[in-house]
Amino acid sequence: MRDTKIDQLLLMLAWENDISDLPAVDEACRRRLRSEMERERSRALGAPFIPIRFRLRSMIALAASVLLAGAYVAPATHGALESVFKSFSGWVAGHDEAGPGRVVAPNEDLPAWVVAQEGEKRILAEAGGEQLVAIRSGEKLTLALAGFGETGTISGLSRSVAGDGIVIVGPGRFLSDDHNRRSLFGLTSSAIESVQFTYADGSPPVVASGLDGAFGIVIETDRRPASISGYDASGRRITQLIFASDPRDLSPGHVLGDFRYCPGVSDCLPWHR
Amino acid sequence: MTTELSDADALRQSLAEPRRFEVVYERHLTRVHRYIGRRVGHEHAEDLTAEVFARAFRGRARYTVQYADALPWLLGIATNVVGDHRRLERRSILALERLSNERPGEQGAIEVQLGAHMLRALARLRAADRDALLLVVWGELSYQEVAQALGIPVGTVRSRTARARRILAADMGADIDFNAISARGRQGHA
Repeated sequence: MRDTKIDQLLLMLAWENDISDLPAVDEACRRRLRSEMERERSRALGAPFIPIRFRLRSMIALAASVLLAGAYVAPATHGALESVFKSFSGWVAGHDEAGPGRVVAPNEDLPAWVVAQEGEKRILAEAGGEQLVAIRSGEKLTLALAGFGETGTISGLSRSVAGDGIVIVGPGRFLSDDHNRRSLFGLTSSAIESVQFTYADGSPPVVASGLDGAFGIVIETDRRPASISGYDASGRRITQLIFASDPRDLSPGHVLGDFRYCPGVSDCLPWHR
Repeated sequence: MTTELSDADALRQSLAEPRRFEVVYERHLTRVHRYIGRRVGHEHAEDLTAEVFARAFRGRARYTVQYADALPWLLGIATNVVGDHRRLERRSILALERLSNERPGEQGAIEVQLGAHMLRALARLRAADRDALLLVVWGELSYQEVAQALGIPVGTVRSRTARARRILAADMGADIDFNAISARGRQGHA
């Protein structure tokens, strides 16, 4: 019966570790599950929220959701818009002088998985302590945030968003545990000098100016987003995306944009402001 | 009269309605957490238990619906999570060893020394043998359920657990006062 004694000794050891604070564990697990559910829900809605891990997958599907939503372009200025990927095409083709954004500093604090990626990296935009990074590797271009990355060929990406002035790459990390503020990143056509993100409640908009093909802003997620507009150097609005939080509300000129942390997940509580 | 939703049904429904996953979560949290705590120590159990359920949620579409009870599947995931954090197991061993060295004459020191010895012996087992044995003893699964958890034939489970017990018994040998342990074991079960 020695086997039984071995099992008994193992159980005796186990009891040493059986003391725990289950309510705290439950809370931590539920928090984690809510996060997982939110990500899944965002993906199902087509919102650009992707699981926290690098996935070698085309960005086309994501960009296509923007395209399908029908980014609004003011007819009079349609010609002013160029592909948001124009600045990347020369860089990906090997023309380093045409590289977008800025080079990565030697002591740049980038996520480990981004550092581990092979290829030349450039910082396109920064917000809330997070960077939007472009990684060039052969003909492939990867757009990376702290939590995810998307890869595609420059030609495929360009085709998928042709005519769009603004492409939402994705929301970044929440800035604090209260989940009220998070970064939001996107690409812009070369004609766009600034973007303005507005809320439905009329509270002060978030503006990013002096853009060079990309933007990063910090938004308040408990306010319903209304739109994001692109302006040229003269201050003229040349493109606008209207945010919808429900796929049933999508119509030409609208794009899905609900960046909340939803405790209810499958039935997010109504916007309270 | 109400019929309780099986884990398999809850998981299947959760594909369309993610919150259904909470049925499985609430049903098995205690067992999963206890198993994780036994493997890596309770100070790390919170994070790793959350990781188990996060992985389970992400992978629920791959759940084999022929098994109504999801606990073996969850403990299989838990075993993989522990496998990704082997250093935590090693830390538990080191902590116990330090404890036995610091309190050589104190009450309970013999049990601590035995525990440290057993943990060292466990650490020397092949990972596959250790996982099978600990799913039986600490996970409280049947051999059939361990087979399901690890995705291996039940005969393999039997051979792995038998080998693990044989090696541990040989390793512990004369150091174990089995009578004392038996007495302690009965108290623990009371």
